[in-house]
Amino acid sequence: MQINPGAGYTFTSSSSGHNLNIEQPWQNWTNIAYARQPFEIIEVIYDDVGTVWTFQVVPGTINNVVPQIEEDAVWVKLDRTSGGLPDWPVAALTPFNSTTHECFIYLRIGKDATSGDFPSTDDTSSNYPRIICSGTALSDTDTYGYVLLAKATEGAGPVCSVAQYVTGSLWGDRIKLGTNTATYYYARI
Amino acid sequence: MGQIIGDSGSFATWCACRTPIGNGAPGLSGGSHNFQYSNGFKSAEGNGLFRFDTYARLAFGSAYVIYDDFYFVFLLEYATLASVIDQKDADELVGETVTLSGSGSFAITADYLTAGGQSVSTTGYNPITAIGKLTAY
Repeated sequence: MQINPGAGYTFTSSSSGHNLNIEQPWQNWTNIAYARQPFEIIEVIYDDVGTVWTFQVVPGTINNVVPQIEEDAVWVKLDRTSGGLPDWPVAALTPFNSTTHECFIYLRIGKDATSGDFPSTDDTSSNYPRIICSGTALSDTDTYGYVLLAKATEGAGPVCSVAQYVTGSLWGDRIKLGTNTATYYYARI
Repeated sequence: MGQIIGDSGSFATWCACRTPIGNGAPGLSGGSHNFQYSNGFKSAEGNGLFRFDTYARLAFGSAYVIYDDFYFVFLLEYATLASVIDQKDADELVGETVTLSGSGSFAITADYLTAGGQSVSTTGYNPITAIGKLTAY
């Protein structure tokens, strides 16, 4: 009889018998793959070759549109698959602020240049919803609304921690009054 | 059976149920989930928008006031047909001063919510430049 190592139990085996001990705490639910939330930042890994952090984002939607993220200089939708299996793109987590060592991860959304719809559904346009990184905090403009999904903080080691702020798909509206800067409203679904 | 929010162009989102007050016309353009108002007034408090009847959104687009400088009448358009702005908000404007081009002005009365509107005696003319506690945009 053979049981491989795992979380929440221990297994011992000897000539006198086998012993399975399950009197240990359950693994934290958030560490279980199927409990991942839309727009959650995952797989934050340091790439020794490229000397850069990389990450993935669990697919989510804004007004039923799946955003893109930049992988190897190409904008790719978060829910990419390959052969019927998830093949979520991997993006560089950069830049980090040289003083605070923080990197802000935003969902950036623009209105369609032709139809005026929010968000743009033209996936060749920069107005299409995209996940971007910034070393500084960003403010809304007439062109883009920004939703802060998470903030990564880098330390020596290298180590990196992520504070997650948004964990769900969104519905949003854009309102612009006269010459005032457009205001963006969101609801989590 | 509930409705899923976000249906394009309808009353299914929070913003579709809010409006500023247009000046002489709805002044609304944009697209799905994108509301752009050309000129009008917003409240100084909160998010600047007024609660708006879902039927009015579909039928009229947005709320707006008109000063007719030919008939000397001031009114909130469609006020007798739907709750184009919440009644409490509409009542809040009674007593506020409307300032017109040419320096004419008058105080709003409850008649501005009636079909015939509020008769006004003033030397001013269109467009409206200010309304009391509201902020022009």
